[in-house]
Amino acid sequence: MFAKLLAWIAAGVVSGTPLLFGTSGEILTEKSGNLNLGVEGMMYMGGAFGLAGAFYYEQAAGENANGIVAVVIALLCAFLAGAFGALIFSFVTITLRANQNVTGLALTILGTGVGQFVGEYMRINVGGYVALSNEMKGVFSNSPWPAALREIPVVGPLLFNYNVFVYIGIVMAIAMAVWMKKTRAGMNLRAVGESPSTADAAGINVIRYRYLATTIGGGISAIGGMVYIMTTAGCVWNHTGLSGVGWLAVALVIFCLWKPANTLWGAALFGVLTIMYLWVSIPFIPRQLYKILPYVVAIVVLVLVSMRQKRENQPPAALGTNYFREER
Amino acid sequence: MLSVMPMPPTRPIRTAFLSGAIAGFVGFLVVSGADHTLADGVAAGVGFTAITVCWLAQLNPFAMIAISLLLSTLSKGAATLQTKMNIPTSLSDIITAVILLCMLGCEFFINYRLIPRGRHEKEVA
Repeated sequence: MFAKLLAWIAAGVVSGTPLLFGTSGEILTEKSGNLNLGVEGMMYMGGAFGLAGAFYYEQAAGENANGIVAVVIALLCAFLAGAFGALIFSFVTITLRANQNVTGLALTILGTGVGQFVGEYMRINVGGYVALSNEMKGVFSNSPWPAALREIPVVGPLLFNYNVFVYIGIVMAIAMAVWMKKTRAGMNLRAVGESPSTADAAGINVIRYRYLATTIGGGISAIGGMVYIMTTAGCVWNHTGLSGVGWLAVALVIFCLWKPANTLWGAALFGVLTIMYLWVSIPFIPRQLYKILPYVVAIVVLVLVSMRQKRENQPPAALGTNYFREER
Repeated sequence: MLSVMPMPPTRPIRTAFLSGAIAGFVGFLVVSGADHTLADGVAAGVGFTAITVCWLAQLNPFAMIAISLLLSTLSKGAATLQTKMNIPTSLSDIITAVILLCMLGCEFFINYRLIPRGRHEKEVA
């Protein structure tokens, strides 16, 4: 019973890692005041381009394909694809001052289209499956620690058995939390998100912070898509597996109260809830009801936060609004 | 302590209920008119396309009919393209999104005028 619970939590952490990346990227974007609803699109783009990068690297390198280089190339391709999508969003929103919600939805549709197009096009070009060789898949999905660490009785499977992206994600989330709270640049970013006119009066370059935060946040979210395709989907392009993960990340941002440190356990919790229908079977409840659990939790948190009005838990005050210097 | 105020049924809340009811009615139309069954992919992201249609039509109900006709033509045409020329169907998604992004960008040029100001400053008035 206890072993089953541990196994469930371990599987939940692995399935929540795409959410961890997606949510951290979106928190970075939302802290600067841009509400980027295009997370789903960027995850698709990251997944497709990451898989393309790893696949073509393996074709090109042939025998000498190095696993670590493949991981780095996949990470880089996914980050650049997501950053490009978020750059389009930033340009239309910040420079051309369009409505952020609609632009985000347009980016979702664009990113979903581009990702599926690239995935399908690769499949047509290659003439069959776009799949990496088994040892490449192993590098992506297996744990990087030596077997000695993994076999410690209780702690071993719980801590050391995950794939490399879980550890990268944990390091990234902690680094982002420390950066936002303790450094001057992080404080400036929070100021830009709360009140851009005040930040502008204090001499902070609002436009540069918003551009950088949105672009880098988009890149990080796209890495989440790549992690999903490489680990959960087994390095094979999958049209429908990634749908809904982006929206879950947007809900998770609310659940984590816009603090990057909370994504560590929030993503694990949502991952556990997402796969709950596989591990806990209550009779008479259809499988689909399990899927609404994460969203219900996010709604409850949103209601509680807006009722209690505690100042640290509020969304950034300038979220979703564009900054016009002329209209100060 | 939590303090909850009683909420009068103001106009935004009534409007939200009404638009939710219309959306549910549309679901009924799709299931009973087009599919004749309740399957997993009934809604399939149509809601997000609906927001696109809304914005492209500048919130004018008559223009929405034309725009939704345009978007559905694009998507059905992409399905035909796939059978005839082996191009993936997501091309229609890309075209729709590019049209929407260009429209959003053009709003800026309608509302503001670009005045080049000599060597040092390019200012947007």
